[in-house]
Amino acid sequence: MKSIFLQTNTAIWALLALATTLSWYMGSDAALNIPAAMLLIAFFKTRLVIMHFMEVNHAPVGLRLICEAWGIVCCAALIVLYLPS
Amino acid sequence: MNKSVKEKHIPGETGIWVFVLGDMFIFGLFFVTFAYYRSLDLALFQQSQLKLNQNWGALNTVLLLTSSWFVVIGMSAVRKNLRSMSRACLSLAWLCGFGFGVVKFFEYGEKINHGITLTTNDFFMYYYIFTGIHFLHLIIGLCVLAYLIVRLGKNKPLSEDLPLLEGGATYWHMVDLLWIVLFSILYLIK
Repeated sequence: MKSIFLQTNTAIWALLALATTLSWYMGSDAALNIPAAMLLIAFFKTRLVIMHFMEVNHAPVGLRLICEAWGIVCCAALIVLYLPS
Repeated sequence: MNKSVKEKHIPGETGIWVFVLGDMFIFGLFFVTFAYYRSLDLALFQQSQLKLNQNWGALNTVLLLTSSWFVVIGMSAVRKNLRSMSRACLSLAWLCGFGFGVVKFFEYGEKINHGITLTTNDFFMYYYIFTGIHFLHLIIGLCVLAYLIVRLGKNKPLSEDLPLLEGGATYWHMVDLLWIVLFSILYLIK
């Protein structure tokens, strides 16, 4: 039963929690509140969820491409719109 | 099992992916709409954002991430035919999701008590609409998880229910990933 918990996805969960702590810290510190960096962290987290938790990394290439395109297009559009700040 | 994992596999029925991708596309438009209107009135959005409690948002993010992780472990248990283990994991996932709902309930209450509503300004209009639609997704997800927990209690072979369970898991992870972006743009990025 232990082996169920000892899997890559547990490390992914720890990484997601760490990234959340980092972005939360950046959100509370004006000097570290860099929109582009925080957006990259957010979409890195969504990619981890999509590829590992949703198992898209084992899915056919079409689904994988759609998911990758979603993350890239959303992240790029937001970074551009957040540029003036 | 290892062989099937190495083969290309779409978790759940194809239909659930049409729904999930459609939802992700719509939320993508929400994110861009928010960012566009924010760029038109930066001062108002930044001032309003300060009234949000980012600790509540962070707590909710951790709750949903943990909930998603329990679902992942639960699905591993299903594939190993560990019925009671999978039920326990999905139940813990449900509890974390319910915890998110409780935190959101208190957060909405706090805002409304301070006179902050949907009509206060554009920032709070987007805040209530986007988090409200996400909250609706969460409630649907909790109903789906509850159904799957009941289903796992029946003595049907787990392999028969695998596509249904995978579909429910996929939907729940989508609720998690949409919140990750909402948390960043509504609470964190000033």
